[in-house]
Amino acid sequence: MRPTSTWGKVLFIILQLFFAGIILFPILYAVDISFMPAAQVFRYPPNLIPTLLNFSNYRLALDNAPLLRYMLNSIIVSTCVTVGQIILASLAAFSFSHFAFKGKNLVFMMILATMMIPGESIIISNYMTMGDLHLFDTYIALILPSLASAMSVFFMRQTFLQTPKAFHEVAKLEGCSNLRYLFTLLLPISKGSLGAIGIYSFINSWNAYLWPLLVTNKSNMRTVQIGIGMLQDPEGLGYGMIMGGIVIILLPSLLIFIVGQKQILSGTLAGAIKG
Amino acid sequence: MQTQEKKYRRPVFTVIEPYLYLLPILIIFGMFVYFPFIRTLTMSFSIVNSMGEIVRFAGLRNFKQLLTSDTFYNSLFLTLRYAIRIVPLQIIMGMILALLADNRRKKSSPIRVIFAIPMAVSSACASIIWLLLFNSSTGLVNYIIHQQINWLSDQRMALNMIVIASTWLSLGINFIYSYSGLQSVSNDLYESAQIEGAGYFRIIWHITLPNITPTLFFLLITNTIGAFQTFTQVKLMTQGGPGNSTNVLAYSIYREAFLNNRWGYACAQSILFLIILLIISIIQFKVEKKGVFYQ
Repeated sequence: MRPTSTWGKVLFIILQLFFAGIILFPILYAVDISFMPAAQVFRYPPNLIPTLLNFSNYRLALDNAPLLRYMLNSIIVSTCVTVGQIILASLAAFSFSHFAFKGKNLVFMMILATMMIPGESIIISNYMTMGDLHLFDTYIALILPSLASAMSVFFMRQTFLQTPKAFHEVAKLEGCSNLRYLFTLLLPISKGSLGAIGIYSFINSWNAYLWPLLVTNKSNMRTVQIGIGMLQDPEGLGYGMIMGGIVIILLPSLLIFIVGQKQILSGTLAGAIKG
Repeated sequence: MQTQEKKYRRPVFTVIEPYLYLLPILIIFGMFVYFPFIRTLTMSFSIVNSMGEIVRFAGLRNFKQLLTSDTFYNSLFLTLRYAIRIVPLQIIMGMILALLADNRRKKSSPIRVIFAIPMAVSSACASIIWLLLFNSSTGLVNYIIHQQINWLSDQRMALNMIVIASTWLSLGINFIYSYSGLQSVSNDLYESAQIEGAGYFRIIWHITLPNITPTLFFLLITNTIGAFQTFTQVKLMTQGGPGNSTNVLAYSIYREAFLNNRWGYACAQSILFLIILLIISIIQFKVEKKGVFYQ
């Protein structure tokens, strides 16, 4: 729906540009500052355009903190979480959508009930569990609790329910095992939903803050988000360097976002709200 | 013999098969949701030493302490005030962006990608960028509004600063949900309204909004829950200060548990936190029954 009058159309475009500006402005500002030498950052009135392209802040950021190591940690954790979450959710959703068994509704309700328990309210106990298992500063601690997502189960189930039952019948007649059917037919034809869920869980995991903050102490186990928070601590290091670090760690998630924007914007996930 | 065994084993497998597929996820949920929930509940009724070990049963002691503590009420009302300020802002902004990007004739457009971008920015990065923008002497915000507001040390402004940063951060996801909500309104409705001669705003008010109440309701629920869970922004921008003026519930739980090691007390607060969110969700679902129309 768009306005039909000429003035309406002009106003529409102006507003579009205005809001695009608001959205891009903090990101461009970070990029901007990251190119400025320290003296220029604190000038008043603020300088908007750096006088010359200056990469020293990036080198400073990389020298001051093992940003690349943080990034590697985050990539390992987010990839494992995404793949694991998809496998676990698909198996559960397959069970709910293709089988009839005793207690099905009860188990489904139990899984949905986890959505009503905010992570913050059980984080103390989870932290203690990790302590009991001596898992602080390990990838397992960072990955394991995020592997199960009720939201993913719910959306995968919706997707599986939409595939025709006949496919499964034919596969069974042909002697195809259920697991093989799930992995060679059902999952490939659910690519769209998988992509959307995958991108959401990757970005969520990449951006996680509180949990990694609690279970990592060693510098070489930190994720990027914790690392960037640490850059802030020592005073006098300068905003230029911090912004350099931010731009470096923003790049991967922006890249994934742009690659996956079709899946995100197609509303596969949002479409399930109305169910 | 072999065939007989096969015949015998198959049905057993068929019966347990669906349960096997559920097992992995139930183990994870068991370890990291159901068990910790019970453990938190137990600790909230116990005296817990600073090492996190339960010393003895304490009855309602932790809850009594909590409910007579000014700091807790401060956190609770602060969080409510924060939610009341930010949730309408998030929904309205999401809707405005969605309306601006709504174009049935174009399959994809750069404006939609731009509007969704904050989704890809982590709360840690956004917090630090906004912190610099709000810097009282060199920050761009003060420069643009021609004011000398000391956002970080002003008790009244610190919360607003977090509202602004968090709203920006949630623009992407709110836009995506609002936008896909808009796509569910049929073209015929718009066309017939236009033939009747209705203007843009009248169509939005009388046709679009009533038709997307499920989306609006979904945004209300998710944004409210999100507002209550706000942590990263507070941790990185204000650490709950100045003078507890941004010590929201999620941050206060973190502070009591991990900085003050008052585990039992923090667990009691966690349980109340959960109950409060539950009550709010129930109220919202009650309202849903009256005001939301599913097609």
